[in-house]
Amino acid sequence: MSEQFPSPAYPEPVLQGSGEERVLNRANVLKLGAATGFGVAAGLAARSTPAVASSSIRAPRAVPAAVAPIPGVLDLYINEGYTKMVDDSLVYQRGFGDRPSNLGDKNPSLRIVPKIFGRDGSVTESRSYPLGAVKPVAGTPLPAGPDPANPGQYFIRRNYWASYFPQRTIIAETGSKIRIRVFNRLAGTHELTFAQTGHGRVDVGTGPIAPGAEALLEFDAPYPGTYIYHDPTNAPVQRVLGLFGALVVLDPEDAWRVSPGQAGFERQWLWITHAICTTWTGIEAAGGTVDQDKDPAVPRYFMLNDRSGYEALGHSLNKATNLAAHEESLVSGYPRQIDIRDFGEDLTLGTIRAGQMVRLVNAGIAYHQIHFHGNHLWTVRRNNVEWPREFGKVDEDGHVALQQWEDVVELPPMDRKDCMIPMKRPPDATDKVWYARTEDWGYPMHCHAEMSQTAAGGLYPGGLVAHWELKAPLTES
Amino acid sequence: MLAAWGKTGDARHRIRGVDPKPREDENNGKARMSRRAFGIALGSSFVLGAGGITSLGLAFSAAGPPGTITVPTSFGRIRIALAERQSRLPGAAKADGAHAGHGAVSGRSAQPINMTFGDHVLVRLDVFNESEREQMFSPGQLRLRANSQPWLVVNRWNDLAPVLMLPGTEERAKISFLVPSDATSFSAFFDDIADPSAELVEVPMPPVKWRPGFLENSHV
Repeated sequence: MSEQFPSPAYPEPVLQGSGEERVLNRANVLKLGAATGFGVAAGLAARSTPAVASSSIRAPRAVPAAVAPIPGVLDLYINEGYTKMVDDSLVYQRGFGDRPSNLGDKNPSLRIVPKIFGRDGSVTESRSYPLGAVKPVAGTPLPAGPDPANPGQYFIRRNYWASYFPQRTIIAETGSKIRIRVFNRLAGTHELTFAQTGHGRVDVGTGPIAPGAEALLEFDAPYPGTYIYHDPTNAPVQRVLGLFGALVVLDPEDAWRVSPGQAGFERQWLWITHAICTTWTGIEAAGGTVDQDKDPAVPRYFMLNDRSGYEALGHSLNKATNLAAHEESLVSGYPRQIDIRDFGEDLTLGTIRAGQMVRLVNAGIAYHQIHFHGNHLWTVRRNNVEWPREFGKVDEDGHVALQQWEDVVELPPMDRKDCMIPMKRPPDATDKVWYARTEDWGYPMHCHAEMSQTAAGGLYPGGLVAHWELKAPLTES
Repeated sequence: MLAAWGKTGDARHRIRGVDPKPREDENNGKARMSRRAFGIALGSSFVLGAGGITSLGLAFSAAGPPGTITVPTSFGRIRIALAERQSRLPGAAKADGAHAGHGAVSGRSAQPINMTFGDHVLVRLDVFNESEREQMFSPGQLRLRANSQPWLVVNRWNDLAPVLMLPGTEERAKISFLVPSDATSFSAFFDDIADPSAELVEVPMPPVKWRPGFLENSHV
């Protein structure tokens, strides 16, 4: 993080004088006259309005403006604009926004505030789910009370805390119908596709949407799980430019489990990762089309929930950014005993022996290796398929498919994995240290694909980073 | 010759309009000016002078302070108006007022233990939106390269959040970069996002002066 330093006392630029007394004489008259002539000429030259850059993508065209909403239908606008990166540069991006916006807007709508499709046919905007559940302050659920059998640890509330979700999230309750109207406000053809949400895990999408046109997509909420929506045009180019998001499907009657009968959790986190290639964004911004053979991707920014580096860590000077990072990304909770044999086991009424669920989503193009310090993660599912607890297998790509503790969770592009972070006493914490703690213990999360830890080609650690916190013991007050 | 326009003036030979020798007053040896001539001179000079000063102001605004070079962009103009260099940690002393770039050789100060660059350069970037459109600007659009390293580096600090510049407006941003202590000159480049097909715009650096003191007292 860049530190602040006192602003230097810059003198305003001044014209240096010779120190001689100025007198009105012929020479000075001539000088002033000459100055007038040169000054006027220079001024006119300097004030001439420059040509405004133009490109085909910015050609005037009919673009859909905001439309009257239809109950039960989510309107998405395919917009373009510039977003600030962690190094304060401005990078061209596209996205599915929830209002029309233009290229030059300071805050273009390139990602939606989370929306929820309810079983009752409603569409509700909410950063947290379940609706009506208690929102944890700064994202950290408070425990139900101390666990007398395990000093320094706590009972965890069952089916109590809401979870915050990042921008780009669509939540659909099982039994709901997903209805989306898509408006293409760009000069090129685009489409919206929900990967693997159809019967037989086929993609469901609008098909190509011409510039200025719109399309309506309607389908039943699929099996509970985590899905990616994106624009598959010239894949993965449009995804890298920002046309993607995540769909989370939950059973509203069993909303604290990844799916009915599966792992329960205290709260859940949705981590959407992606990578930005400025070579590609530059080509498309200038109205061109990326030729992936000619210009292979070289990602320059690696994002976690659309933040990276110190902003992803909640260490920026912007309090709103920091709070959002804590609520949406920075896993935190109180230590507890868990039982991996059954994450939903009740010991005391209203409590659960489980950790917190992290839904890892890779909408980018880099192979990520998510690595937590402090606790290992227990991977439950991959791409909405439960992994077995025994008799695992090695899949066709050589990956072990078996629920297990993992130090590093591999996350290929377009992959989703549901992982439990147990929030347990770190195994290397001795009794002397454990019982003496008085403050939060913070642990880093970083990606073992080291290029993803950088931004702008070398700013380290400016990329896909986070941390998680094991909260300090609660005091009596 | 203004004096020649007066009643007392007489014809004199001139070389390319310039009097070859000062005219001596017949009475006291001093140049003499009539009231009319004085009025014309004063009025003309006042008008011309006011115009000249105004024009100088415009020219100054357009061209920037002495030693700076203003360059065009797709939306207007930019320039680096000021540049200072400072060591991050106490160490080898630099001569106050000496130039810290453009060929000057620096002493080597104490280096941060994490092997990051040991100096920083602070510039003031002036941006003028002379187009008819609003223009986004962020200090991160400026990057710096030191002659001892091949990389363009991004800023470590700046004092301006991204801003939407209205047509005809100007923004100034102070931007700080970490630079290697053995650098002797710098190149700055601006990412003109209004013209995405263009190359980075090189912004000439003015003379870089040493700033007294140190950025940090320690680095752990």
